[in-house]
Amino acid sequence: MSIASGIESLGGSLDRLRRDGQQAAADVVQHMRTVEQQAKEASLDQLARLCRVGAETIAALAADAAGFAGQHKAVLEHVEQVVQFAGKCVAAAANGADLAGIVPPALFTVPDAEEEKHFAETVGMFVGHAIGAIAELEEEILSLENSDKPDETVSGIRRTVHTLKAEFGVLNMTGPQTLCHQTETAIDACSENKQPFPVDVMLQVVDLLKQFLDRLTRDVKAPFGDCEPMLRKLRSLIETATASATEAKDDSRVQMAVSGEFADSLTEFITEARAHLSDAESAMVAFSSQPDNLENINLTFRAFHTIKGVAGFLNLTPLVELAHVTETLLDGARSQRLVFSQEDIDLVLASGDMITQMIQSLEGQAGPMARDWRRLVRSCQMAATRSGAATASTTPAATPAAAVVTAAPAAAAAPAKPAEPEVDKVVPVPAPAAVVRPERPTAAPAAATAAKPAPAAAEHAEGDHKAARVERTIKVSTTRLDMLVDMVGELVIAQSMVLQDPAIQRLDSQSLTRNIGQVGKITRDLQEAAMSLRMVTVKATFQKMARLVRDVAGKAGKKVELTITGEETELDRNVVEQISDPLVHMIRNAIDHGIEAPDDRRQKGKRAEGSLTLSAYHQGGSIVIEIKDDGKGLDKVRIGKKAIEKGLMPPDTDPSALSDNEAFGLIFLPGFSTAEKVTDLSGRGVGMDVVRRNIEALRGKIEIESKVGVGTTFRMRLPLTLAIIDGMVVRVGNERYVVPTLSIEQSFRPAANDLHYLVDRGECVHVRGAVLPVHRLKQIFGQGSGLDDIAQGILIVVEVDGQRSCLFVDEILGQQQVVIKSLGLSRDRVAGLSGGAIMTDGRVALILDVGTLVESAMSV
Amino acid sequence: MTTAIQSPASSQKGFIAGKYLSFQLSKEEYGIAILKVREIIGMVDVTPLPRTPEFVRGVINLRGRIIPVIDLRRKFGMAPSEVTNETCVVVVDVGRDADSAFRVGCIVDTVSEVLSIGAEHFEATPRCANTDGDYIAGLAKLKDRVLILLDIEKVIGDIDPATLAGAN
Repeated sequence: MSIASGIESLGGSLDRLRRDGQQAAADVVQHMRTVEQQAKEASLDQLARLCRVGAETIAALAADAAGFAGQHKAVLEHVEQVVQFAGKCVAAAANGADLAGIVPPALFTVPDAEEEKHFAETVGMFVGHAIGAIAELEEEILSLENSDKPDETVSGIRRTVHTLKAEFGVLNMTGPQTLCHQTETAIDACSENKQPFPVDVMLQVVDLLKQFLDRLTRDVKAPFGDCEPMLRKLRSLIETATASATEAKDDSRVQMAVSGEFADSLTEFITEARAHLSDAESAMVAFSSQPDNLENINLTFRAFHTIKGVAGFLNLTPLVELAHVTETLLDGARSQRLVFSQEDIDLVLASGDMITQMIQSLEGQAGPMARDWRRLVRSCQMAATRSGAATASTTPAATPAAAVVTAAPAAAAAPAKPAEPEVDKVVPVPAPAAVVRPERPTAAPAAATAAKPAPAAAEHAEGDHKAARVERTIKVSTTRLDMLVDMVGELVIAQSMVLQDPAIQRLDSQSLTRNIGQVGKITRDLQEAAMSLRMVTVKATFQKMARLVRDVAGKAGKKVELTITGEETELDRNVVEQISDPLVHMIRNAIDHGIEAPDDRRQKGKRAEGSLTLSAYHQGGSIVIEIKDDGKGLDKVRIGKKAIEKGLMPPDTDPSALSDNEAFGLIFLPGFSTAEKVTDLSGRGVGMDVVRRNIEALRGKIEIESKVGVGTTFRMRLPLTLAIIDGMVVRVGNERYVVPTLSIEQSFRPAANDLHYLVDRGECVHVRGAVLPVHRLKQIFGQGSGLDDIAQGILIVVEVDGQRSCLFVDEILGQQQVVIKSLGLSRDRVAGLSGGAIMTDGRVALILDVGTLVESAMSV
Repeated sequence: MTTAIQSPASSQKGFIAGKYLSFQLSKEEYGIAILKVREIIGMVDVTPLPRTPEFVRGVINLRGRIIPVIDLRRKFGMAPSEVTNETCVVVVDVGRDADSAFRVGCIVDTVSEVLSIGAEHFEATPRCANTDGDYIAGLAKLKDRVLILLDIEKVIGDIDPATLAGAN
């Protein structure tokens, strides 16, 4: 009989034990003894010992019915743990993994009043000492950064850890003992391989131990809790430390080449792989917030699988290997063999990033470092095998009863939040004064109820997925698409030229009018359809931001909850491509400067989790993209002071007298930053300048709304498409110009007595209490024709960089949407013009670029 | 690719045998390698482009695409002429590669014909000719007349988009 079946039977006896109590005890004892024998044969010494002591204790307890009743729960709990532990051991042994990392449960002994008193005293003594030792340890770790003799400090740390380990051992506290042991090994590995001391991880260990000791002072039998995530961290630390030592000198990059015959498939592979990777990334990010939806894992799995398949065909071995290990890791989660933790998600994301890098290398860019690649492959492998060993093994799950028991922890954990990396979450709440572990509902119903929602959700998602696939797509090159859009544009113009042709208008035929009307309608529909071809949803961009939020928040040590709305909103492809950069900057700023640290937030009575909302919606013919945080808001006075300090404003300005618009406008100036120190996230004062430039290049506008202590909203107003703008058609002499409506504030016919001529400053006009400079288009463009008397023409008030000025034109002809076209001067633009538009009469009208126009008018 | 495009006009004083489009400017007859010519259209409304050199007449709508047009008379320092029915815009594609490729319309007085010019007709530019800008690739001596062969790359290259825009 194999050990697996022995464990199975033991698991099966649990049910009876739960139901029948004392009567089943003999049964349990017998099974335990069997397992003990088998464990001995399999040289699983720890397990054998555990079973022997357990069997003895339970047998002793069973002799006394009343005594057993009191200990029923403890017995159950212990047997459950033994079964779990045995499963882990067997699985680990089968995989050839290291058994040392598996924490055995404490030995089960009959609580003896005398012994307990003694134990409590010993623990008390120990705790007093250990608390001191740990405080010392923490101090040492922290002093390491400034230490001039780091080696000595490190060996001091190691000594302290070692002593702690021994003491835990004496008290038979296996959990903390194992933890200390691994910590020691990790420290050794780091110092031997000249790796930096892992301060962060060590501090986490210290915290874990501190919390445990804290619980011990209140209850000598307090459980240590699950330190598996911590152990895993340590193990990977050891791995990387040993690995990086050999690899540190290796600066080679991952090399991949594709033979000529596959060159065609390669381009296709690159585009497809990119699409798959971005799908996978968003699925993983979605999974981290919705761990019960396994469809996301499936999707990611499929993406990696497809990439692997095609890459295999193209002989891209390193890529195949990485995709393969990632796939294995994902498969663990997919088959519910392991509970996917935040670290695993990070690994999958890292794989995605590396594959992206490798794909870039196929396009001629530098590939990833070979050592990084190796490290990642290894981490994935480890995570995948760890998962097999750490959670309940699947092997003994043959009989239903055992399956219930073993599956319970995994299934119960799966629908809950994913195991957070934070140490404090791993440790369960301090146990009540019960003998062994906190009470848990019977495993069977828990497993039954908990296991159900997951597949249901998966099925549901699967259904959605299938529905979404019904819409078939084909890939078309953008050049062809642009050509189509251009030709349709021509058709629209040609159609209106025909319609307006005097010869046609002279004809008096009802059917002709009707038919021309019909052609007109079809043309407009066609134009709309052609335009819609270029529209894509902002979904992909937004999902990239979800990843960014996750990464940046992690780096900045803040908790941020991202809400995305309107990701189905469609925008011109070119616009979508170009909002990505500004979004990145604004989101970084929002997290780094806007949202406060969790502690500050609590003090202010806000939720510890900052909220960030990213939304897109239509408003009045343009698209608005909004980034809203509930952080500390923009402080006008502080911004003003900083601006004066940096010489961006004259020193005599009163910062508190600035209007919201003026003050918030300052943050867009290049070089402006209120950050006290430059971090790798932000603070150099480049970001917002980039944001404004990019948005202006898209002919968009940015608005800020902010309230100190409440939050900030950035609102980008963007044109639906780059190809079409809303314009005011104006006339100057014989020429027509199109002024983008977005830059126009108002227009009016000036009264003669409102006009002034300022010596050396030029012409000005008095508008509603403000005196604005007047620029004559005729003069700027050196035109021969056009009005000279301002009072007979029209003044258009435009705003550039917060400065208002007036453009003088002869008249306004009307408002219309125009298709922006390049002037055919490919490289540079003529100052003051952003392009040309073909008007309904087939002639070209020039589109003004108000920004450069006013600038050049000033410099003339 | 690069040499293939350059060779008709600029290699060895830019001549290769082949078909040439002849047109008139003032009293002289000129020729452009037909491979450079994209199309010939009648004179259309030109929208003046402010802040550009004088010879740039402006931009036109070429079936939905906006292209600049230059006045070859002005470019060559001749007196501007009245627009007649004969006035044409010769649309040429210039540029060495896809990046610098650009399409320009050249206003000429009238377009005559397409001629086959072989090496036997070709003659290098006489010394006395105006060498300013090297616009002339050479002369073609035909039975009864002489054709001035233009190196259109050079002519247009001179109004390279960058110079065009920066010339205010």
